[in-house]
Amino acid sequence: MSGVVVALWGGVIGLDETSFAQLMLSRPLLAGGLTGLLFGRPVAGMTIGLLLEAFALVILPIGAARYPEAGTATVAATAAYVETAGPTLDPGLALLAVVFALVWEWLAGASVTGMRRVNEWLTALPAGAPAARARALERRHLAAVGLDFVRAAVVTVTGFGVASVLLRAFGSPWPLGPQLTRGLLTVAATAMLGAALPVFGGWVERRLPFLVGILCGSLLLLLR
Amino acid sequence: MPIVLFRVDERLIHGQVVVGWGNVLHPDRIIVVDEELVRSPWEQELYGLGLPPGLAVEFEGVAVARRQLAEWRQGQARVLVLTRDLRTMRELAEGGLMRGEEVNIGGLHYAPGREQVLPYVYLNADARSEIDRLTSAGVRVSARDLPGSRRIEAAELLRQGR
Amino acid sequence: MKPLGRGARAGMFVRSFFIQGSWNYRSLLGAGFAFALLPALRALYRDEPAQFDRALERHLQLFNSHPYLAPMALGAVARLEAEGEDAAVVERFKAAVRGSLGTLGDRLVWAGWRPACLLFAMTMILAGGRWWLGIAGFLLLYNAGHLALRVWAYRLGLREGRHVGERLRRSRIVRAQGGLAAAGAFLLGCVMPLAATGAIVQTRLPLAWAGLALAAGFLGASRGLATRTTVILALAGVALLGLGLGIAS
Repeated sequence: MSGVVVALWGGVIGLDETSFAQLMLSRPLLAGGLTGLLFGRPVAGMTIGLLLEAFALVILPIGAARYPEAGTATVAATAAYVETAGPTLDPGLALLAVVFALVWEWLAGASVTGMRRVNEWLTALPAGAPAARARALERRHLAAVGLDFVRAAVVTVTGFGVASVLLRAFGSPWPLGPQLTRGLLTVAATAMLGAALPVFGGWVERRLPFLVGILCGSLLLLLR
Repeated sequence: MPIVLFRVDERLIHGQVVVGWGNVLHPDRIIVVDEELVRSPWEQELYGLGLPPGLAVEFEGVAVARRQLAEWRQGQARVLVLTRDLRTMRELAEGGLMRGEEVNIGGLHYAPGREQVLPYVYLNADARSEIDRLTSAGVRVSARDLPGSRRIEAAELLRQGR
Repeated sequence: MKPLGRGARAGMFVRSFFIQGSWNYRSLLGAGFAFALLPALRALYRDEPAQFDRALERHLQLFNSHPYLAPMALGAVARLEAEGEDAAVVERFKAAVRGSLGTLGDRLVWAGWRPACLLFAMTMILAGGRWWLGIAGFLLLYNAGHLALRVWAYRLGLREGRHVGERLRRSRIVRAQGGLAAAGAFLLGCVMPLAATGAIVQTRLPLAWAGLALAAGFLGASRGLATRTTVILALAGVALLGLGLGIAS
C-alpha cells in the first residue's frame, strides 16, 4: 500500500522538477517534510529533508553536463527512513538514508537524461495537414509529461524498495556511537552549507553579509 | 592577458558561457564577432540582458575583429571571443592569425540537413569543411560544452555521424 | 495588428506552465514553446492553413529560456506574430532571447530567490520554529514571487514585443539580483551556527563538534561545489564502515 502512495507522490515530485510548473515541492526540504507528513511523521521527514537540502543548495541547473534528481531520491529515502525508524531521530538510519539518497539521485538523474532522449523522438512530428500536426504536437507534448510522471514514479518506488531493504538489514543495531554519527552528519551538512556561499558570489564578494549572518545566527542560538 | 577562450556557439551568450566557462576563466569582456548583429542595436540589447555586472559585451564585424586580435591578446582585460558559426571563426583565423590557438565548439544545434555528432553538436558538410580549414590554418579544434565535460578532438568529431 | 483574444492569451499563459514538458536535446524547449504558442497561432491564422503551418514550423525550432521567464518570450512572440512581423525578425528575436532569458532567470531565481527562500525556511526551522511554518512559509513566499514574476514577464512581453530588452534592462526586478545574493549570503550565515551546533540532527552537540563543523563550513565556503564529492565520499565511507562493523559483529 505504501508503495503505491510513494510511487504516485514520487511521480508528482518528478513532474515538479522539470515538466510542470516548478513550484519547488521537489526541493529536498519540501519533498522530505511532505513525504514525512504523508506517513504521519513530518518532523522525521523534515530532518532527512534538511540534511539533503544542504547537499542540494550548491547545485545550480547551469554549468554542469549532468544533474542529479534530488527530489525523487529524497522521497524514496525519506519514506524508507520513516517506515523503519522509531519515534526519535535514529542517527545510523538517518546517515544510511542520506547516503542512499545521494547515490540514488544520480540514477534518477540518468533516467531524466534517458527521458530527454525519448522526447527527441517524440517531438519529431509526422508530416500531415497543418491542423493535424498541431493536434499531434499537443498529444505528444502531453504524452511526454505523462511519461515523465511514470518515469519518476518508477524511479521513486524502486528506490524506496531498495532503501527499505538496506535500512532494515543494516540500520539497527548501528555499530557506531549515536553521538559520533550525529557529529559526523552535522560536520558534513555544515560543510555543504558553507559550500553554497559561491552560489551568491563567493567569499570575497559576500563575506560581509555572510559574517553578519553568522553573528545573527549565533544570537538566535542563545535565544533558542 | 591573452584571449581566454575562442568559442563557437549558436546560442552565443547563455548560461554555459557566462556561468559554466565564466566561473573557470573569469573573463572581463565577451566579444561577439558577427556581421549581422554588429548592425542591429535591438538584438544587441537582448543578447546583453543576462550578463552579470562586471562582464562587458561588445559586438564586432570580422574585419575589425581581425585587426584587433593582437591588441586583445596584449590588453589587460580577459577576453572571450564568441561566434555563432564555424564560418565566422574560420574567417577570423584566416592567414594564420590564430595559429596555435584553440577553438572550442560549444553548441551547434539541430537544423534540417545536419547530422548529430554529439548531443550538442550537429554538423553538415559545410561545417565539416570549415573544421578542416580551421585545422589547416593551425588552429586546434575540439568540442566541449562545459569545462567539466570531456574534450572531443576535431578528428573524432569528423569521424562520427558520417 | 490582428487582435489576440482573451481566450488565446489565457490559454498561452496556462500552457506556459508545461513549457518544459518535452525537454529534449534536439530542440531543448522548442516543442514546448510551440505547444504553448498554439492558442495564439490558431487565433491569428484561423483561415490561413499555409501560414499556420509555416508559423508552427518556425516555432518548433530550438528554443531555451528560464521557465519562469518563458512567458515573456511567448507574449512578445505572440505580439510580433499578431503585428504581422517578418518571419526572419521573429526568428532573430527568439535567437536573441533564448540565451539571455536563461541566464537572467538562472541568476535571478536559481541563484537568488530560490536559495534565499530555502535558507529563510531553514533558519526558521532550525531556530526552533514549527515544521509546518517552515514548509508553508517557503511555499507561500517562494511561489508568490514565482507567480508574480511569470505574470509580470508575460504582460511585459505582450505589451513591448521585440522591445522588451530596453524595458527589462531598466527594471528594478532585474537589478534586484545583487540584493538577493547579499540576502542569501546573510541567511546562509544565519543557518551555519544553528546547523553546526546540532540542530540539524535535533540535538545539542558538545562545543568541540560544533567548532569542527563550523571549520568544515568555512572550508566548504572556500572550495565551493568541489566540496560535494569529497563530503559524499567521506559519508559513504562512514556508511560502509558501519555496514562492515555490523556484519562483522
